[in-house]
Amino acid sequence: MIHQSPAQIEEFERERVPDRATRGLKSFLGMFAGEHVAGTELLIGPLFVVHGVSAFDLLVGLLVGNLLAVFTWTYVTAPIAVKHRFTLYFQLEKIGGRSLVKIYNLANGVLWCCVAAAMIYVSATAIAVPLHCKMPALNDWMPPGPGLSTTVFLTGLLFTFVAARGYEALAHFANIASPWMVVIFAVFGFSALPELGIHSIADFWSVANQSIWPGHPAIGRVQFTFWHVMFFSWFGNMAWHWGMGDLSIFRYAKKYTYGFASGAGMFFGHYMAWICAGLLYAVQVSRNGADTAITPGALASGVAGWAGIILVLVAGWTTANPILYRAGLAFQSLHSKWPRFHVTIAAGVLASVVAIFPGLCSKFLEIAALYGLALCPMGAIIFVDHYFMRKAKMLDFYAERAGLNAWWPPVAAWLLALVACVALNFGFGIQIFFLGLPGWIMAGIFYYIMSRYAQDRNIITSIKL
Amino acid sequence: MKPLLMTLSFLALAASLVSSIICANKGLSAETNKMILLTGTIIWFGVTPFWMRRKKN
Repeated sequence: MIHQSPAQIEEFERERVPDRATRGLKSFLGMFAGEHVAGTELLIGPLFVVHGVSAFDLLVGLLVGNLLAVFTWTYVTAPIAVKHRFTLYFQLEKIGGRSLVKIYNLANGVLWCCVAAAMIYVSATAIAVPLHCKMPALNDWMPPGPGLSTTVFLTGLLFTFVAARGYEALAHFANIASPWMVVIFAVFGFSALPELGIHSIADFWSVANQSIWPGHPAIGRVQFTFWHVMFFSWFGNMAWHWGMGDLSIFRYAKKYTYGFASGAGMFFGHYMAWICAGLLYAVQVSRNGADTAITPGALASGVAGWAGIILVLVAGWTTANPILYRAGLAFQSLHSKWPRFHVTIAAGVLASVVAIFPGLCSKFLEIAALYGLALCPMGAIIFVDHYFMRKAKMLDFYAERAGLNAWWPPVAAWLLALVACVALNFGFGIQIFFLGLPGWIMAGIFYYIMSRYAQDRNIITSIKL
Repeated sequence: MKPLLMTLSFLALAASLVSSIICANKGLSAETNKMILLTGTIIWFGVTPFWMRRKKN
């Protein structure tokens, strides 16, 4: 995506993926199932409980939201990916020039550091269980003491060092761990049931409404409804589907219908894992009503013992590793002479420092929504460029065709859409969970209008001739 | 050899899942369930690397 070394050219970073390199459906199913069973699922499931969602709203909201996410991958992302077979970065460069890719990478790198910080925190809570570190309360922003802070920071440094060395070895480990992680998440659910007083399917619904998802938010938390759950589960990965991040993945698909493979991640990962993580949290609260802290290591160890602790450590590590690596690459793109090893170390140290503060993880739903919101306008720009430019007698891939290093309409549309979203949030009180789609639509409209105004008629005529 | 190792790996996963289902039906204590889960985990990570191919990521 960023270098132009021979090794990366073999990865088709700056060319169309040839037909001989396309892959079958099975590899997409495996990739999505593995990638969407991550350490942060252990934060999201309990946070739904904290936000006072009811059982019906959660189970149906997740079903609808995850289905919409699968449809978005299939009908929005995959068709463009299969048509051009370019990475997101190469396509952005063609539309907005290299400067656009640099700005995008800077934003992406910062957001990846925040997500990696959450993964580091999740894994560190597993290490903290046998060390008996003092854990933070639900709404604590500051670390509870030196024990957990030191554990988190050292965990982050370890992850960083491994990521800086390159992620191939750990990626192989992640492939090995992936089927086991899916099974252990299911095990969490089954093992939690007897402690919650569920011994038959008939027991489930009444206990779910009374004890697991009783529908009362914690103090200071927004009450979640069906719409919150639906939009969160739809937009939780917004940067990848509406935002077109997975163009880089689906460019290898033989057909756009391979987008349905994302269902493996949405339903094994998000649907099952978020429900099971919620059950773990309900067990903790049923044992001690005052213990409302979200510490994945303790939650998992409570019902699955050492296997649970190992899962939390592995799930956090295997997902933090590629994210730190990508964050390093993203920052390195700002200055190609910076060594990737050192840049990754710097990104990892930044993530490790951020991870020390537990408030980040207790607000992870908002962070995840912000991540999608910040990056999704780029997807709208690609969408409009693909479907509307030629129909409106304008040029697609304008920066490339006009020989420009920087083309301002995509950047302006992106920033203007984000400013409009901030205005909707502060001026009209629209919560961040609902801003993704308006932001995406506005970015597309702004880009279209600005392109209409800014594209040079002479260039359009000369190229079309 | 590979089919044998694969069978062993997936038996370890199956045992983990089945023991938690039996535990949910009160047929097994929580402590025994935790021990089976740990054993299944050790077998999975001890055996699987010998048959799972290294994929290009």
